[in-house]
Amino acid sequence: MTTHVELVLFLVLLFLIAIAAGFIGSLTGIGGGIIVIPVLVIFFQVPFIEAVGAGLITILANSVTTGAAYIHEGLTDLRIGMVLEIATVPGALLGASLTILLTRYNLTTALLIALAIVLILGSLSALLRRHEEVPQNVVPDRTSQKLGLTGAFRDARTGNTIVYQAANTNGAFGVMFGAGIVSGMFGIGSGVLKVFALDGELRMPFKVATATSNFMIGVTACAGAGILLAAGYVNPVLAAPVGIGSTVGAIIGSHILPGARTLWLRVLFFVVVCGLAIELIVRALGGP
Amino acid sequence: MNETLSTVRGPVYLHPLPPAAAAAMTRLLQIGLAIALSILFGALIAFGVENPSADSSSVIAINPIANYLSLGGLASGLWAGVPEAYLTLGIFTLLVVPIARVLAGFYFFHRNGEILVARITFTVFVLLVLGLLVIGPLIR
Repeated sequence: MTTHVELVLFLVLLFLIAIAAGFIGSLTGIGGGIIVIPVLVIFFQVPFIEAVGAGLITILANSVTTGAAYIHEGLTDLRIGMVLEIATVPGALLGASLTILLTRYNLTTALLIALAIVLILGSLSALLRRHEEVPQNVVPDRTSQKLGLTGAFRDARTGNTIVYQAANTNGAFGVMFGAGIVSGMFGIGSGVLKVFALDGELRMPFKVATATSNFMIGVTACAGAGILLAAGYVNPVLAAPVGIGSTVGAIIGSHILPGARTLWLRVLFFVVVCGLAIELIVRALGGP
Repeated sequence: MNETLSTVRGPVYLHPLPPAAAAAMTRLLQIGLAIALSILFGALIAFGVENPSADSSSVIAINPIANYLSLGGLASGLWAGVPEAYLTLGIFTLLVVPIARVLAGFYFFHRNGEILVARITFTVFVLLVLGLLVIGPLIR
């Protein structure tokens, strides 16, 4: 095979992987980085820190795409999403800086193992997550009342209009800060944590929580990617096909979400991500 | 029959942003994304055409970004028609889209008279710019 054909096949393969990652990311609210990063590290031997950079570009493109679609459909809560970004952005700035420093101190093995653990926990949480489609008897807290964290949306499946108000806002800020750190460190969307903060802590309806998580992931990723890009750790030749593919996948996924039930997808996602995580640990420990 | 249901025990006082805000943000994200992806797609094709001897190993081993991180380096790369410079421009454009969305949020909250939320949004904007222009270069 000539080198030129090999290069084209490589770029097309990256593009296809990113389509799958963008599709799953937009449907589950988890973000596509959780698939792109281990695949880049395991199958293409991309340095960890550059895989994190590519992962952040994936979830950034994914979030901008789905963000536009879900705002248009009235599923995203702009107010709650933007208020909570005050917690995720400092977390992402801290996380990305930490990853750069740890890499420079040759702690990549520890980062790979930590990433594998985050992948397993993240996919397990996505699988086992029990949520109320529409929570009942929510009691709003003082911060929620002060910031006016209320909203309404029309559920496409039932046709009903759901009115809601956030509870336990301070707890959600804490979870969001942690989500920002994880996102910046490992180049993933931390959608599991974000959805947990939105539907578990704030007790928002699940579909609004998923759409708002997708909306927020872009700004969190932008914070981490900004640091990695300015520090020279984003490879544009790798990031371009990944960003374009992720957008195509996210467009397909965002058209399916409003009427979707995603249990089957979460089971498949769990199996794939756990396999990748185990392979990451084997590689980190010097296995074949 | 379609109903209105509430998740909250007690009344909920809605004060949504005007529909124009959601429409403007949707348009901003769509236009920004279209511009960024067009640049990336065109530059990727150009990269494939202009580098017939490149393969996956060389793409992974050589990260060209360092040449285009300064304004001068990026401008001269763009002027010379170097595909890697255009790829970097596409990544920068993609990065600017959420920052512009945060700025738009600040504008709409401020215009809606929601000063506290507007201040929070502006702080997020400042943090994003700090990360890109100060913290990242400092770490480099």
